[in-house]
Amino acid sequence: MKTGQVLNFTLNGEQVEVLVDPAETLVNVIRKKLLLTGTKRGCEEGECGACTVLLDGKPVNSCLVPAMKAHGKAVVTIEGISASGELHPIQQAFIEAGAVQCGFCTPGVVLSAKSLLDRVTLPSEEEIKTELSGHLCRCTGYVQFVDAVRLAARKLGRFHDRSGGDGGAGRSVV
Amino acid sequence: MQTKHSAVGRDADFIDAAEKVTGRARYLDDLSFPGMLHGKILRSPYPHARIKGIDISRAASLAGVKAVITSADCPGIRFGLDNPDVYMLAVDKVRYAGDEVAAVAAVSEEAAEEALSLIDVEYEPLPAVYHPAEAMVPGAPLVHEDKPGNIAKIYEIVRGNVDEDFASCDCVFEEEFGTSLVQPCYLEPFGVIADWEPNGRLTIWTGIQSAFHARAEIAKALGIDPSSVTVKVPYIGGGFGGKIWIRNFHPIAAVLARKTGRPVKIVLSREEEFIASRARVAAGIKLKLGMMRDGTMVCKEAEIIADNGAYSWAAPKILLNMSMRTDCLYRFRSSRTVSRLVYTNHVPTSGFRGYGNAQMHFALESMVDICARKMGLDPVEVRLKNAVRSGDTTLHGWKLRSCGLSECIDKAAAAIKEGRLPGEEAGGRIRRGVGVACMTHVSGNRGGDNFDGSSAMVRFQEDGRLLVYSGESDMGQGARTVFAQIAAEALGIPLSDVIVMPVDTDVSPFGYGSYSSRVTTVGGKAVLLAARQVRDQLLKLAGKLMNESPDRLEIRDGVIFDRLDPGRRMTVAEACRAGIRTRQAAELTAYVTYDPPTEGTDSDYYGDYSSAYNYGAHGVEVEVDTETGQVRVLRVAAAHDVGFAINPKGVRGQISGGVAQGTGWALCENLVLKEGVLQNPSLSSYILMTIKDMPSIKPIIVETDDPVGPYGAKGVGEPTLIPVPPAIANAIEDAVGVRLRDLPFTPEKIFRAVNPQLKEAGK
Ligand code: FES
Ligand code: FES
Repeated sequence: MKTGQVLNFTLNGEQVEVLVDPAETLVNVIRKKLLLTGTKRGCEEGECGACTVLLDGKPVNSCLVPAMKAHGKAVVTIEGISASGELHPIQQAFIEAGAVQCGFCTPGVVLSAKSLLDRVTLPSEEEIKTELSGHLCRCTGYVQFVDAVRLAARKLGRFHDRSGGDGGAGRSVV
Repeated sequence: MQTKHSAVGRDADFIDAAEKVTGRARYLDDLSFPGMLHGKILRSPYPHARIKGIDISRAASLAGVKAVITSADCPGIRFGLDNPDVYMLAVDKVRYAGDEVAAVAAVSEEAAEEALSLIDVEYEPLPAVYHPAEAMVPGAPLVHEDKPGNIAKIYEIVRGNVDEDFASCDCVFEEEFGTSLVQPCYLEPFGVIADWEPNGRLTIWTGIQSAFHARAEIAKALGIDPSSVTVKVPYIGGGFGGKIWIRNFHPIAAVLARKTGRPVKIVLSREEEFIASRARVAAGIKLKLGMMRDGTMVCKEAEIIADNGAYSWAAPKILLNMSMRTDCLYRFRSSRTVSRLVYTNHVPTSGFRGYGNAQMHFALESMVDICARKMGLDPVEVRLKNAVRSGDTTLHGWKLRSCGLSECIDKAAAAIKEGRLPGEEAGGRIRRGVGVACMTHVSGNRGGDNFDGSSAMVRFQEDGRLLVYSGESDMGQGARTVFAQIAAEALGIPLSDVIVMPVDTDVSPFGYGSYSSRVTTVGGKAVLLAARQVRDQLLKLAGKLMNESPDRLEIRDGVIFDRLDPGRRMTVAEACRAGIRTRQAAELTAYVTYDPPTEGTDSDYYGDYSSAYNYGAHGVEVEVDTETGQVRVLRVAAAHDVGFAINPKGVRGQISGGVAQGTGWALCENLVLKEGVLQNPSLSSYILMTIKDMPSIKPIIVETDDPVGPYGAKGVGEPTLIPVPPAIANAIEDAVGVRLRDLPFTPEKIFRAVNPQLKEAGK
């Protein structure tokens, strides 16, 4: 009875297959069909960044992305970066830096921070601000975001020293 | 100070932050229940119109639609606070563009949305009123037929002999100010799930700041007993005053749920958050200030005309705060305020961080600078000369048990003068200046002689971990963490052994909720007293088990030991295990109701009504581009007397968040209405501060050890926003010599003020 297209993609490292409506957005498929509610809806008009997920490593506002755009691609949501049950160093850094108040913007911001730190080992203040400028946070006043990303960069440095990573390859802790 | 305590007075990570960073924290929209339907609300496109007819037949027959309701399906009860003036769905006429007209419940959001477009409403547009001044004119169209002159509320508050005092002043100044309509704009859209239990009780899930008020108001709207309603509060994605009170969608969801026999969820869209939520009350303020040549402020007179919008919720209370609180900033001898709250066909207004107090601070703290400059005095010195102090009883009868205003002014002014950037750049195109403004606010608010307290329940589990229950919500500000720190400190147990439970009106002890910056001061004190009581129980039990007198026992790091023979010890967990589910049957549970020792106010609003009064001062440095009119706030030094910072990290977070919201209000946020219709109902056209717009912020925590608050603490939530707009206005004048009296300070306004000759040419 349901018409739709079959969407095949990798979600947090696992292959999934789901029937979607052509008009359906990625955020709604993730939240309502795949029942991962860590991705938030703050505006559904591409303005707040709460719905950010990583699509092939790049942050996108999943409220603007038609679900079929993810076909054959890899999507990482907030649930995917601490899949082992342990906090990712970026998550730990956000907590310690006081960058989490109500937490509604946090999953999206953490994913953008991850995308930045996957590319740049020690980002400058400007780079951090540019990367996070698409995220609205009404609670913190943002200043702790900069501290958090810097702290995360330091933590990841240590993390890689310990795991013997080369600074790039071990970075995607999916 | 730091060494005295083990849990309070130290930076603590928020105890619920791990759930939030992992996406596991559940907000309202993350909940769903078997059979749950999705509700949507049809809103009026007209600011004022008669409803001639509603045809729901096409909508009702759409596949997936389970119910369509209009006012005919709802109890005909008007609800609200001081002025119960609203039906959950409009009866006969609509009063603003956004007014609720009908609602549907369907199996999906999409079907519900589609059904809305199939409801046919026949409207007859009516003449409308958009300005409070016009609305008061005799013969103006009435928003509510039973409110003559469109007056929602009038106050006249007089202290001392203001006319005599003005006559004896060396200088008398008069100015006018205007504040704008802004939205709290919390990131999580407000919503509800309603479900009726088979036993006839109603369960409401909603991320609300004040669960017990919500229970009472929802019951009132539905005409049922409050005890038939349970309100459960999931994680809240920000509130800032905008989620203190219920909205129409709460009882609407309940009616839809009753009609369908299924749970119904309604979550507002961002557009609805703009067009149909309650904005900050905008006011026109005339101010008159009488001073002596040496800078003494003698008397103050104010006339306020405020836009209530179409329905009054907390707006009358907000007007009261606006009318009074700044009189308690300086040692005025007399004051008179006449204020009017006027119905218009605009979006309804209510509370937003600062609750009225922020509007008048903009006026008065701008005024102080204007007057000082005119008299050739240093505005900072004038503030210090007149500042109220500890031990004062203010003009309105507040007893200042602790007050760090002078210290805040000193520290903020000194910090902003340090490390200043050059006053000019780019050949004078860029100009920089600094300004200071102060604030006062409350930590709790006893209206009349009502209860202004809070209750807490604490209970040990058999593993030694402690459950804390309070009726006060955490909307993201860190209340859970503060409660846990207080309990851990009082009991000598690790912070990680304290669990703060979600608010549920069937389980949580009574509390008014998170507003009036009262949670730490009042809610925290209740937690402290309950924790102390359970400590006595625990020590009594341990004394029995250790065969020792309880007063020789102490608890530290989760271990109970004999003070005189520290080798004799047992863990809290061991004691709890021995006391629970055993024949010892120790209760290890305490329930305390605490009401702060204030009197409240008389019928003329005079009296000591808050547990503590908060003071603060901000210094800001701005830069103005004289060619574009663009203002940037570069640095903010924010000093706040918080009594005692239970969680300094949380205080710093409140400061940076308040500075961001205050700066947004001053510079870019503004609801633009044209003939009652909102022109910018989206985050792309209603501009919030982003990470790139933020100044660098220096938080300065001033501690005055309040004698009443827990460990000396006072509130800080709202105060951090209040001084921001006037401090920016003062800094702009310092930079470019023009005075802006109307919020927001858009580039256009500044450009015109800086280039008055062009203003003429442009006409
Ligand atoms: S919900 Fe997608 S950007 Fe706001
Ligand atoms: S923490 Fe609340 S919106 Fe960012």
